[in-house]
Amino acid sequence: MEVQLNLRREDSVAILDVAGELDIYTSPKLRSAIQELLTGGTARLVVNLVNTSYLDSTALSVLTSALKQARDAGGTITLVYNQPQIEKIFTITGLHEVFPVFRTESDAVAAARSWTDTGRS
Amino acid sequence: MGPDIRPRAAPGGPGAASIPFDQLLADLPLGVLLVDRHGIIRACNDRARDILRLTGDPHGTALNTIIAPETARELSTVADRYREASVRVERRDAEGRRQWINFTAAPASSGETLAIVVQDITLPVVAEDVVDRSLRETELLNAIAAAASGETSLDRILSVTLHHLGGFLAFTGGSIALIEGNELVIRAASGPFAGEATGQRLRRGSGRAWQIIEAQEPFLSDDVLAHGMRPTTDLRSYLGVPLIWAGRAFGILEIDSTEPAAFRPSDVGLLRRVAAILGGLIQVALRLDVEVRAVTAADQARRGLALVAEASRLLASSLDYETTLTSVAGLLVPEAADWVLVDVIGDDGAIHSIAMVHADPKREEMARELRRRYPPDPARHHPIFSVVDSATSIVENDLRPDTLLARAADEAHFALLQAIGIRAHMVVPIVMRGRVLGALSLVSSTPGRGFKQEELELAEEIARRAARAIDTAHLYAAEQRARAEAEEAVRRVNALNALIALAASAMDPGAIFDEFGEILRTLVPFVRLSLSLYAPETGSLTVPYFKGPALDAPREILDSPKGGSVRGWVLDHDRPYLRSDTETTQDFSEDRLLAASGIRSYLIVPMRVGSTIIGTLNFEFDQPGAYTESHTRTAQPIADQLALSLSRHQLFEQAQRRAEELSETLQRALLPSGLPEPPFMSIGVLYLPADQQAGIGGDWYDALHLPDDTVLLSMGDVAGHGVAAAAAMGQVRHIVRAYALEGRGPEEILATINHYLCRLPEGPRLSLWLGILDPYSGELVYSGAGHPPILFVRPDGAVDPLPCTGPPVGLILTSTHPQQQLTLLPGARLIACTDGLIEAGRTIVANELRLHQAAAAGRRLAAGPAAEMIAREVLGGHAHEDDIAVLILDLLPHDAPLSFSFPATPELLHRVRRAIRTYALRVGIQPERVEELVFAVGEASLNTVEHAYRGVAGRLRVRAARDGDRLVVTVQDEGEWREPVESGRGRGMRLMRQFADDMRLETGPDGTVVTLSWAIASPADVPPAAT
Repeated sequence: MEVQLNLRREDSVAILDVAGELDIYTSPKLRSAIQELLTGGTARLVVNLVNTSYLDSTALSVLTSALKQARDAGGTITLVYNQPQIEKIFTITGLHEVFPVFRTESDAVAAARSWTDTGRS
Repeated sequence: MGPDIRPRAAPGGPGAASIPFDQLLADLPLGVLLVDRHGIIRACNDRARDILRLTGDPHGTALNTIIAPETARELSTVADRYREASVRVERRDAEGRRQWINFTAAPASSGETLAIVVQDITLPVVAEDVVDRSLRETELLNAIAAAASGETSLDRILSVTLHHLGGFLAFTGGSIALIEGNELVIRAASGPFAGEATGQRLRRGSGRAWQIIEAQEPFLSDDVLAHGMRPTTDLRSYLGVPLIWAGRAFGILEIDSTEPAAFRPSDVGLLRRVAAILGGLIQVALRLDVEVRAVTAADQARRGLALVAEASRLLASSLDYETTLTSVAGLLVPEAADWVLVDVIGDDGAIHSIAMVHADPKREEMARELRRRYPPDPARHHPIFSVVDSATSIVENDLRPDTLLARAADEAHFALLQAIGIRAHMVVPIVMRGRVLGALSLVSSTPGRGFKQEELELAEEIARRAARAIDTAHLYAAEQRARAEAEEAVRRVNALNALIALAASAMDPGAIFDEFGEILRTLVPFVRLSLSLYAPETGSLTVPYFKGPALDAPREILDSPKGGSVRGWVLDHDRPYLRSDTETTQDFSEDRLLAASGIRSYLIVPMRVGSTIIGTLNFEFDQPGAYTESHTRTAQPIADQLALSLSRHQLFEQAQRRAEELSETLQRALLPSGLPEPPFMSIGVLYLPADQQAGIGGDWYDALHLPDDTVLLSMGDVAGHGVAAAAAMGQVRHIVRAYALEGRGPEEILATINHYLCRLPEGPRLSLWLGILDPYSGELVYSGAGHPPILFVRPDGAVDPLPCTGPPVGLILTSTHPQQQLTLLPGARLIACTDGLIEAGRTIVANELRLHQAAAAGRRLAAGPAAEMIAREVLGGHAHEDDIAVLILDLLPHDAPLSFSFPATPELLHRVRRAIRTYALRVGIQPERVEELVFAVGEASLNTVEHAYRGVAGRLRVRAARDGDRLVVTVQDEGEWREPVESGRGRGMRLMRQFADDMRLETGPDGTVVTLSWAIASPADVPPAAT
């Protein structure tokens, strides 16, 4: 089982599409992809999980620590998902209140961009 | 019998297999010639060349050039007829030196070659001349003594003496003159002027005779004129010897010859001895004749003379000097002394008693005890030592107790000396050719009885004769020894010949030992022959072979630790050891045990291969003293030869054993140590090695859980056995695995292997069946290469063979193995087995039938037990000469509990999710809850897997089963206890608790078990989920 990561850019916002399963084996790929963006000066990120079929606690850890780094760098990470099982995972863990979560990518991109516009709230 | 000795013209024959023949020949302690049928010398060792004083290599020349043609012919004819011939040849070497050579010939076993042992016996022959003269001298003296002892007339004694002397020495005239007052009177004469000479008188102080008498020294003249003598006749040579008695000259014995240089210096000695005898005789006769002595004195003298005569007869009669000397000693007791001893000095300087007689048997026993307990000790001034050193007699009359006490070693010694009663003794040296051979001792136990001068002279005369007897016997013994050695050498050559043939033979070690024993028996006697092999790793000796009666004694004699044993001693010292009596000497651990079992003497010889001693060859005999140094010399080369033969076989066996061990190791290494446990299926295997272990079989089975969650099954059989087959099997098994891991199908893999094997020089040929099964869909892709049909058992119990799709691989380069497909329904079974099963015992048809029946009958059994049951049923108790492998694969029914395991590595974790998702749907978990269930089980598996990142590989086992209306899943970390990993784990736990209806976590020494359960809402059938 593999995960497919696809990176797109919209202005200053980077969009990562995650297709497949994110588990202990595949999450490190997501971590290094985000790390590369942050190191490269991109601190405004959208992680699109719409095509993610599975996501475990290691993936949650990767996303959470990436969010902290992005925030430290003056940016943020917004998430996109609409699958009930993913929703439930974020709800149970309370992370839906930590991440800006959107049902569509355009909302997530806009939020990411506006985050930059409005600065730290 | 095998090959014979090969001449050097034909090296490398079968006999040369273990020892190069030339080496063997060179190492023989004998001169050896090998001569072919035509009398041509084919080989000659250096020793033979030395003996024959040959300057060049005689190889290729005729034996005739060395010995006379008729002698050579005789040698070979007699050897042919009697298997042995011996001839003594007098020859002169290139420099004209006379040589006596002994040739002993024996035909080699084939009869084509004659082995001739060459010995230089020149020395013994020269010695024989000496022996001859010595014997004749003895006869002469005996004759004189014997003749004279019967005569009482002095003149008669003297003429008899001259008569006998004339028969021994060539002289013209002889005379014996005695002093009477101031004149020398010729009392007897022989020769042309005997008549005139007799009665002539010569005044004291005039002439040569008086000079000789006064000087008390013999005089020999080769030319009397040169010595200023003025003979009245034409005599040229002269020899005069004084007659001496009690230190006083009383006459003269003279001989002369008309030939110049007629007498040799050795004649002087002879005449002196004659004179010495005459001394006694004349004194007795004089006393009788002139003074009329007391009757007792006369009697004694007569007895003395009789003793000398009898002693002489005895001494001359036998060459066994020990027996003879004992007889002589017996003769002297009690006439001349109460106790008589004869001692000789050994080469080591020690005193050996060879004869001892005492008048009183009880005291003789004491005397023996005295010699046993207190052998003559130079430190205690035993008189024998000064006699030996000075070659002068000692007479000690009136030996006082304080003298004896001073000489005694201790009180017990003194008591013994007193008990025997030593009052007086005389010790006389036994001298031959200037060398002191020993001493004759006469002891008186009678108070007041001392030894007089004439008794001393009598003893000295007997000692002189004893010396000659001993010397003669020595020479004779040397001759005998030389002869015996030549004979033994021939036997040895023959035996070695036979042994070489044996060594090269392919017999097993037991048979070789047996044959060696038979040959050895002719050379070294034994009642039992055994072989002890030394095992350095355990330090012990074992006896694999022996010949002769089995031991009544316990095995400990045979198999024993090396330490303290005589065999250990031999191993340590690399020297033979011989025991002459196990009852009297028990230095080693074996002695007592052997003595108890009736073995009295033994000879232990080291068995050497190069510088290594592999064990000992043990000769045992039921009588004491069976072995001598000569046996040791014979046995040693044979023991070494045996060692060589055995070690050759041992090496061969070791190599075989190593090959077998290697085969087993390979087999273990090549068969999978454990089988994969994929979900929804069950695999059972059975492997039976061949009954008669002909090495490793080439059978194998294998199963591999592939990355795409399919399972590879393979079963094969390499033609042949042994390491090569195992190695081929290993190669093929790994090729199959490698290609399957790359995602290739059975057909492609078989094609690859076929190409690979066909291109290998002498590549193996093998039957092979490959299948790849998807346990989720039941789809099977397979292909067979010359493999016995795979049985397909449907869920309803119907059994069908799957067709084989091609010939064995490694046979035809162009062969193809088209792939087949089959979808197994849950509950279906595949049975694969190698031909060892269906070819065992009965006919193939019968076995196949039984296989089908067993397959049907055993379908309710789990895969493992089913494999065993099938093998048991088909074999039906028959032996199987081939290995048997059985592999059973079950695709489990949907309602069967789920159980699977896999290495706990992160990249395989998706397997858990897929299996549990499929199972949850099958057992009727609501689809909307399935992902939560998958998530919870995934989280439960994480802890184990996270450890894999830290280098601790474990195994993860997941079980799931319906329990009433609940689904219970356990996730078990199989391995040691591990501390939970903390990062993000609190979140995972929270998720599991939320998603599962119930969750329990148990940690123990065996690892961690997470148990999760869910309610099954609907029992309705849910179709299998597609992936």
